[in-house]
Amino acid sequence: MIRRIFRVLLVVAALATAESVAGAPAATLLRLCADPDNLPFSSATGPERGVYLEVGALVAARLGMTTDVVWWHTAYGRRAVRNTLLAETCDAYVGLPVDAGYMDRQVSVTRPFLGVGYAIMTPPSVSFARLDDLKPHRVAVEFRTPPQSLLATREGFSVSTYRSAEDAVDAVARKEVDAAFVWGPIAGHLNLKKFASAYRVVPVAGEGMQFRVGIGVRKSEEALRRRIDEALSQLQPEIRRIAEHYGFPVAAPVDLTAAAPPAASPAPATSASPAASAPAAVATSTTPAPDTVGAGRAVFNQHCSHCHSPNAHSPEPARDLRRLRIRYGDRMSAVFYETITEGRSAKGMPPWKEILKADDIARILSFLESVQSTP
Amino acid sequence: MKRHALSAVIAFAVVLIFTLAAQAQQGWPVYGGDPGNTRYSTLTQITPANVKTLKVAWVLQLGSLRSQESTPLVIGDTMYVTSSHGPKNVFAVEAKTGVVKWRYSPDVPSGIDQYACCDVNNRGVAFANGRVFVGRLDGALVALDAATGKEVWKTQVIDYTQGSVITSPPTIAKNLVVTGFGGGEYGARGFIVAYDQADGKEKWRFYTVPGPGEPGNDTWKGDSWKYGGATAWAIGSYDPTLNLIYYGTSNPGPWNASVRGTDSSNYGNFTNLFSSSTVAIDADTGKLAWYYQSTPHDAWDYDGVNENVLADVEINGQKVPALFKADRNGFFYVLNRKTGQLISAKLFATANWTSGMDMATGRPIEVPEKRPRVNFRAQDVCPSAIGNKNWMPMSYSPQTGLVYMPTLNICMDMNLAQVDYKRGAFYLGADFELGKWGPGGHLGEVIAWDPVKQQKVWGNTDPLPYLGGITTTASGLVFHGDIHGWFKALDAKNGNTLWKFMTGSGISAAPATYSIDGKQYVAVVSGRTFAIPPFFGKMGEQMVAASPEGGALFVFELP
Repeated sequence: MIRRIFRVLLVVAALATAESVAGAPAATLLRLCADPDNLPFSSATGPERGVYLEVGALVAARLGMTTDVVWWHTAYGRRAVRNTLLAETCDAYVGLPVDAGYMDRQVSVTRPFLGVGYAIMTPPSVSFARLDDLKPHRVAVEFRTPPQSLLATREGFSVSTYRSAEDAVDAVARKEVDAAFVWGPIAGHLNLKKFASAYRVVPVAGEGMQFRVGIGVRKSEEALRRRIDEALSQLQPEIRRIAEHYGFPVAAPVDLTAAAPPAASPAPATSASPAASAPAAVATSTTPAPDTVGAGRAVFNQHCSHCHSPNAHSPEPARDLRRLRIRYGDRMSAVFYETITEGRSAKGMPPWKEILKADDIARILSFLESVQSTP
Repeated sequence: MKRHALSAVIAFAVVLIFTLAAQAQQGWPVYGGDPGNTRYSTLTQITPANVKTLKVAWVLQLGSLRSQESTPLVIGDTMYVTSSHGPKNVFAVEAKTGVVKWRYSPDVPSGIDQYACCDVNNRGVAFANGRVFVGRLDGALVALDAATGKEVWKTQVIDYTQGSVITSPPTIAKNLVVTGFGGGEYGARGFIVAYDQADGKEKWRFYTVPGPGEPGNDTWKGDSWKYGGATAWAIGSYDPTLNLIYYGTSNPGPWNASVRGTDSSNYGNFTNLFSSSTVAIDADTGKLAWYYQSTPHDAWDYDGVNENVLADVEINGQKVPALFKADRNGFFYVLNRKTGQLISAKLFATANWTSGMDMATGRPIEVPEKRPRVNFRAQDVCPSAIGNKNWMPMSYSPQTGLVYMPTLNICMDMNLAQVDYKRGAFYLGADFELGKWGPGGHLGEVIAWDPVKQQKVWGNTDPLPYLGGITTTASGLVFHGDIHGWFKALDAKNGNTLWKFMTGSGISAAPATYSIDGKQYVAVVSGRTFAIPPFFGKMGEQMVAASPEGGALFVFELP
């Protein structure tokens, strides 16, 4: 409880400062909850931000709001929702299932803005209209997924199991298998970015294969849900463009399990050229001059030392910034920029991008680089 | 010459002191009290008559909250105890006073709790030859200098980002330190691995799921063996005479049994070896000596990981090198630990998925409508996925000849519908109801069980589950805690509560007892389980309400 109050105070303090400095009222901020390592949906490290973050930013812009991102891994989905949205550290979860039963006592989800699901990725040489057409071929599936279950209950398939969809897709490229029956957004994204759309990615209809996703808010935030809903209804063309930009298979799913062959022929994968998206902040690798270090120390001690200790000499390992290099290695500066600009509200670290100037942030990094512990 | 004589006198005095000290000191050298995990102490200073005067000697705050599961070790005059969360802290403290000698606080990756399926717990350390061995949530095993707490070596056992974490202390056998890891459902192929205590070099590795060409590989359908689970995430045992290491293994993966076999009670050859089993491994070679599978082709999440307790007992007039296991699936197994032969198996709590043991095959006789299947929801199945007994360890007292164990009375509705993780789409409703009250309305019961006659002697019920691990003493005492935060001493003969103390947070961990300078102490760690209650709906709300999170070690002594 004390920690909670402290966190609230920190956020309030940060907002108050932000208001006085930048004149930004709190109500214009939409805090998005997202997974830091979940391309093509969201990424904390860039350069691609992911479909869900781009959709979130698009919606926020339509509502006249700016965005912050609160990161949480989603390997355990409900746990992520509990620790972010329901803990009130963020306001909107892009990509929650539109399903009557999904956490509906606590969460309200908008209309669906996108369909995501399983798909079959093959080289053009492998043609199929029905699932059974894949029987002569070697088919890769991902461990613990509906395609694995589906093929396990049907006779005559030659199945290879992989731990991840990425591994299964790579197995196609290595010609270890002839097809990968995996999560469509991953197959589509890799096909576009890694294999220059050399393969076909065909979404598959059927039980447990396709899902519709919307944007979730707390049950108590009905007004916000309605505003987002309305924005989504106006943004469908843009959202489709974002999805295509990430290679998502956006064709209508094909029912391959039906007895009769479907009339529709599978649509080819999209071949949008990967435009460079806005890169995340990248640190310079030049050796800082000693006066920069001194200036950085001064800024640090003024703004950061009440949590991270004067001169970064923190006795609390979790807050000890002398361990950034040990912890993050080459990613140190990327993590630093992400954390200082966006904050980590789950840990009580407010975002500083409205408060500190860019060159002050760079000076703080120079200072911190000068005090890193050796492993 | 004179100097030599003096040295001799000093040497004699030193020997004398050490001898006296040895008489007055009795530690707790390994998680289970001894390598056979009996959790039985020969100390008798604290008795049923004087236990009511027990008082707190000292307290150590562990520096982390929630899910404390550590049993402290006591080596000489030093205690080694871990906190949860990594462990966040390993402490070496003066066992008489609680004064901290050193603290090891590893840099565990932030966000680790987002990978640990079942909480960020740690059950303690192992000790051998001046080194303290710690398994960590991030999949690393480290050796620390017991005098300083400095890392001597570190080796990566498993990649935690697959959902495989280490929560239990390793097993010591000769010059080896042996460990498993968790993550049975998340795509791991289980193995038990031995490292040289001196330098952390791998000496052997035993896969708990046989590979192609190995006996047992054909018990898996298709290529399902590749990610078959069967991880050994709990406590191992060691018999130095037979030179065998014993581990229980987890459920097979994935939960969907149709991937691994027939998805029915007629599983034929698809038993999925060596999941939900006990395996005995030759400590020198890492080769399998024998196995016994308690739940073939599991569909209930009946892990077979519960601790194997090694004891020599007389059965039908013959002395038998026995192994006891109170399995999640409800059976109390007595095996011959030399051969793996099943001697007897009886249900020790409410279990209705089986109608009994087929002694000819050594397999439980299934009740088909209680087996969850992909398109079939089995209703009111007892026990639930957490079993009739979970990891909280039991104790065997050779003095009474009884096993004392914390048992669970929880049932469930379950099918094997898809609950799979899909990137960017989350879980859709997991289709089980894990928290249904078993018959009688209580959820937990500490029972005394006669392992030879295979029958209950007495039981103490509790409205809530998780009664804490158990330790017994030669003076006829049984120590355990509960989720309300009570730490209790019971009369081993009848279960009467002789003393209790409120620690302020729920206790799951098992106690230790030791003696220094002729004085006996009892130590237990308090700190309620945190990540498990959310699986249990209303029942979970009661568990959370029972006590706040915490993290403290309490040590008790007589006045």
